[in-house]
Amino acid sequence: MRGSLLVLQVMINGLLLAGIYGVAAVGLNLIFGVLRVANIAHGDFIMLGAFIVYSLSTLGVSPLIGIPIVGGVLFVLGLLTERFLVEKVVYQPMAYSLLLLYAVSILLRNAGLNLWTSNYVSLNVMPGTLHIGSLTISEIRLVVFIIAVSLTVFFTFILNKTMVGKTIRASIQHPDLAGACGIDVRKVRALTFGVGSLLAGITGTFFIMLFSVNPEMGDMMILKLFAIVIVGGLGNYLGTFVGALVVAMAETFTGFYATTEYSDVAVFFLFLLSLILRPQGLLGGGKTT
Amino acid sequence: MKTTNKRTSEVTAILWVSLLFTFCSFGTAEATEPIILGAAVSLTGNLARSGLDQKLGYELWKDSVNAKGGILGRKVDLRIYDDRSEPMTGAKLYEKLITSDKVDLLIGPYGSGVTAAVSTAVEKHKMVMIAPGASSKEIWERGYRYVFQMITPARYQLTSSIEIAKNSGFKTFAVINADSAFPRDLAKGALEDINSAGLKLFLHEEYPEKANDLSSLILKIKAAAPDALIVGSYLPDGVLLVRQAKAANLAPKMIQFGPVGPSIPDFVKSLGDLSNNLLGVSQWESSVKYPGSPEMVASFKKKFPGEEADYSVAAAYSSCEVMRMAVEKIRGIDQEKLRQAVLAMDVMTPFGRFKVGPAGDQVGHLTVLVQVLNGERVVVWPAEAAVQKIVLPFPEWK
Repeated sequence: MRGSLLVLQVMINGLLLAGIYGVAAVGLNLIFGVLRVANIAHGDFIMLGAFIVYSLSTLGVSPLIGIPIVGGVLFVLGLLTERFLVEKVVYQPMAYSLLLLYAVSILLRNAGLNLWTSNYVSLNVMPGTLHIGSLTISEIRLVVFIIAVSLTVFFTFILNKTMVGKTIRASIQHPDLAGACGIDVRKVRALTFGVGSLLAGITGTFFIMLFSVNPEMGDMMILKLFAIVIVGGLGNYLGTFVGALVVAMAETFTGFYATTEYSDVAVFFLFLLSLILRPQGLLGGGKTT
Repeated sequence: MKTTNKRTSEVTAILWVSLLFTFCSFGTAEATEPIILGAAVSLTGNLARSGLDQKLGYELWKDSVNAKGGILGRKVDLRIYDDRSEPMTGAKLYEKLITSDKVDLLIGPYGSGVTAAVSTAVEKHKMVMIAPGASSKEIWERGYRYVFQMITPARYQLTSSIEIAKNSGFKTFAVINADSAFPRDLAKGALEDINSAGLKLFLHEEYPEKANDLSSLILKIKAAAPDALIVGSYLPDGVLLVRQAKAANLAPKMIQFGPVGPSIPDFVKSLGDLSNNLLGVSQWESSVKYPGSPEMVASFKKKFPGEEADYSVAAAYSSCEVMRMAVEKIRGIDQEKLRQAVLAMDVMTPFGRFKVGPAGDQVGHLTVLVQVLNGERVVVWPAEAAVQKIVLPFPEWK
C-alpha cells in the first residue's frame, strides 16, 4: 500500500470511529444542554443497552432487530429516572446532580453484575469487509456510521423544524422565559433525558457488536465522552460530532505516526488545549442563563 | 455473602480444630499414621473458581494414591484451608500448617500473589513446597531455595510457538502486546526467543489494555508485512484485534496468541467463525496424552461428574505426584534431602514434563498449542498430545 493510500485508510478508520464516538456522546450533550446536569451514569445506560440486546440475542432475537426494542426500554427508563430522581436536583448546585447520578451509576452497574456477571461478552454481527482497491472498510463499522449520521440528521430535523424541537431549543436557551411562554419545561426535561438514554441504549447495541463489554464498561468511556462533548461545545448538539471527529482523528493518526499508547495522551492534550483556548468548544456552547 | 462466608469459614475452623484434637488423642504409632499434605487454596473470594479446581486436583490425587497403597506404605491425608484469595491470610495459614498442625509435606496455594506471600513463610521454616498455581517469575528471583514452580512461566509460554514458526520457514515477526505486566512478560519472552533463534523482528509495539481502536496499529503491521504475528493480549483487546485485523485484511502466515486467546472458550464464542485457524497456547488440555493423564481425566470425571478437568486440576494433581516421587526416592520426608531430590528431577507427570532450574523455577514444562479448526478448539502440538494436524500457513480470512 502506498503512503498516501495509507493516510487515506487512517482517515477512513478515524471517520468510522468518529461515528461511534459521536453517537455515544450526543445523548450526554443533549441532556447537559437542557438539564445542565453532567450525566455520569451515561456509560451505564450504554451498558444496559448492550446487555439487553445481548439477552435478547440469547433468546434468538437478532441484534439489529433488538435495536428499536432497546431504544424503547431505555427511553422509558430515562424518562422515569428524570421524573423521579434527576428532577429533584435540577438547577441545584452541580454536586447534587453529580452525587445523585453517581448513585444511579453504582446501582445500574451492580444490578448489571448481578444479572450478567462480570464476564466479557460480544456479539458477532456482519464481520464482513468492503474492499475498494486496496482500501478496506469494516461492514459493521460502516453500518454504525450510517445509523449515527441518520440519527443526527433526524434529530437535527426534529430540533429545528418541529414544535417539540422548538420547545427543547427554547428550554436550552432560556428555561425561565420558555416556562413563561407556556412551555412545560418539566415535561421537556423528562423527554430530553428519555431521548438521551435512548441514544445511550442504541450506542450500547453498537458497542457489543464492535467491542467486548462487561457491566463495568461504564467508566471505560465516560471520560472520553466528556472530552468529546467539551471539545465540540458543551450543550451544543451538533458540536458533539465535530468533537467526535477531532478526537477520533487524533486517536487514529497518533496511533499511526506514534503508537496507540499515545492516542489517549493526544486526546486529553487536545481536551486541555480546548479548555484553555476555546472553553466554549469548537462550535460554541449552548447558551447558559 | 460476606457474612455467610465468614461464618462458614468459622465453622470450618472449629471443625478442623476438633479434628485436630481427635488426631492428637490417637497413639503415635508412626508407621500407621498417615502422611499429611497441607495447603491453603482460595475457596472464597475472587480466585475461588481456580482455587476450587486446585483443591479437586489435590483430592483426586489423594484418592488415587491411597488406592495404590499410599506412599512408603503409609496412607495419605490432606489438610486444606481457605485463604479467601488473600495473600496475608494464605501466609498465616501456612504458618499454622507448619507450626501447629505440623503437616509432613506442603503443596501450594492458587495465584501468583498468594504464592508470593506464602513462599516467604515456607522458606523461613525450610519446608519444601511445590507451587502449582503461580506463573510469575519474580517469586523465583528472590534466592529462595525451598519453593518450586510447576507451571510454565510467562517467559517461556511462547517458546514452542517461535520454534514451530521457525520450523515452518517463517523468518520475520511482529510482536504486539497489551501494556500490563503479564502480556508484557509474555512478549518479552517471545522477543528473546526470536532473537536467539536468529529470526528477524519487523515490529514490536505495545498498546493500551483498554484500547477501543487498534486500526492504526494493524495498518502498521500490514505495512511491515511480517511472516508471523505474535500477540500478548487479554480477552477484550484480543477480540477487538481479530475483528479489526479481519476488517483490514491483515493475514500473515501465522497468528499466534498467548494463553488468553483461542485457548479460552469465551474468545471463540465472541468471535465465532473469525477465530478459525488462530493459534493459542495453554498450560495443559484434557485431551493431552502425557503418561497418566488420560487415566487422571477419566477418574476425575468419575469422581466429580459435571466438573471440567482444567489445567489447575492437572497441575495440582501432578505437583503431588512430584512430591510422591521425591519422597519415595529419598524414602523419607527429610526436607533438606527432599529439596535436593526435587532439584535433580526430570520426570513426566500427567501435567507434562517437570524440571526446575537452580532457582526452583520451571524450565521443563512446555505449553501446548491450541488452534481453532472449524469452530472447535483443538490441541495441535506437541505430537504426543495433538488431536489434529496444525494448519499453517494461515489461510485467507473468510
